[in-house]
Amino acid sequence: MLLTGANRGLGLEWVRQLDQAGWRVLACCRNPAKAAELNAIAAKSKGRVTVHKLDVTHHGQVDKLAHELRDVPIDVLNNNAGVLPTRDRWGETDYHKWQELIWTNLFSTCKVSEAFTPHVAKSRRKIILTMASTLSSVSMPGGGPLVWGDEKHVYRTTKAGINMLAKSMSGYLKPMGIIVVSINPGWANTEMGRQDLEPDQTTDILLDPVVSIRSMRQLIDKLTLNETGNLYKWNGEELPP
Amino acid sequence: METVLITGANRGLGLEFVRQYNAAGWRVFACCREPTGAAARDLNMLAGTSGRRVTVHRLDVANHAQVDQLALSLKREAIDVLINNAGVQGPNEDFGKTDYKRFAQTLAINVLAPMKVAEAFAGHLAASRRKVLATISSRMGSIGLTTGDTAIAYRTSKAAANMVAKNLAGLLGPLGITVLALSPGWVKTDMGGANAPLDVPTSVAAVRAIVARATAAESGKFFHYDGTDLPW
Repeated sequence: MLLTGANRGLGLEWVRQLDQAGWRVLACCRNPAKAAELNAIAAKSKGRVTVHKLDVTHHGQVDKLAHELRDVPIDVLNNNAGVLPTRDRWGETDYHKWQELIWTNLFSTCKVSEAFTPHVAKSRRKIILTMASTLSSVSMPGGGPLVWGDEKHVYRTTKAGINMLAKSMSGYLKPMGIIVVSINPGWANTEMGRQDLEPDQTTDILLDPVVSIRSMRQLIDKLTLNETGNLYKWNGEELPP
Repeated sequence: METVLITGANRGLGLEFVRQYNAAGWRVFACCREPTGAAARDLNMLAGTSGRRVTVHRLDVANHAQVDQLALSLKREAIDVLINNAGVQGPNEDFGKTDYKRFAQTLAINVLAPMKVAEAFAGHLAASRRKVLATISSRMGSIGLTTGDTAIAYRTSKAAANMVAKNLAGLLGPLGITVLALSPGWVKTDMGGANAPLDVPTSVAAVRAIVARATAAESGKFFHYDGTDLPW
């Protein structure tokens, strides 16, 4: 598996579990020098886990890494790198930040997928994952109707874009036998997840990252080309667009 | 007098919206990027013969200072219907060759601008009788219906534009504003091309009919021009 944003949170948990399961993991993060936990796992992995410097917003770096790894088949390309939901106030939407979010979240997913399609195509499993969100279904944003005072409309919109991107990519890549699915990893008890808690909420409501990743691993183990283009919750439940 | 504001009003569907609302006796704020250029000749002729009901306003929807300025200059006006019509097709390279600068511009016009226009003009809509905000989307923005392998940037922009409409329906519900995402069908415009099955007047008349009968119960829905519900 190649995964982005591997130095913390759910990304780091992906690395931990896949390492234990004996996978070869290409763990990418912006600043490997500061990724102490990731480096520790890599050091003990007998070369199975390697750490690669990758800022997903830097398309030149993406192309360079894809070139360096050109002979490596990648069974699962995991576009895990994500960003914290925005806090938007009605009437004061920060459009500059919105454009940044488009580059960091949406375009990075598209670019990394483009650059590593050849690697995925020559692998056995041929899977590309994109990260949806609890808030990304247009039919039921946030699991219910959006209400006055909701402060995440920019994040929701960008994530809806990711889901369409995944669906469109699935059409392009199906002839190559590549499966593309978008998965909502759940609101997990990670540094990023905790930052998104309201003052009156406790970590009890957050999902255990170990459970999130274990469940998503079970889900991807079962994927076939029939499921390409689908949108899932971490537990394997199919979500509406 | 009932009033409509239309973005991208100098050609295609936008120009036809101006024609039809003008013919129906509405007051029309027709907005376009270059009101003085040759591209706005038809619009200016229409305005010239409208008995001042149709006025032409400079508005590049990607220029947020211009959006705010126009909202301010029209601050005493109630706007019954606002049509976020300005849109672009975006880059259409094969997957693997995406032009991200143009992708970003496509999102700026098709996604961010409808939100910005809504923020700037919510007060004008709330002060009107009808209070309808319509974003011209596309069937190609339906994630559920997408099987295709074309126009990733356009599809992504319209799916995101639908999410903006859905968000706005929630945000503007308390102000009594009805928000719709509307697919005009595949229309013979510069964007749709000559092979499109629908002519411009038919599409615009159908979309106007949906706007005319829209109530709060329809807010946050995605309709095809023929009135059928589209999946997200």
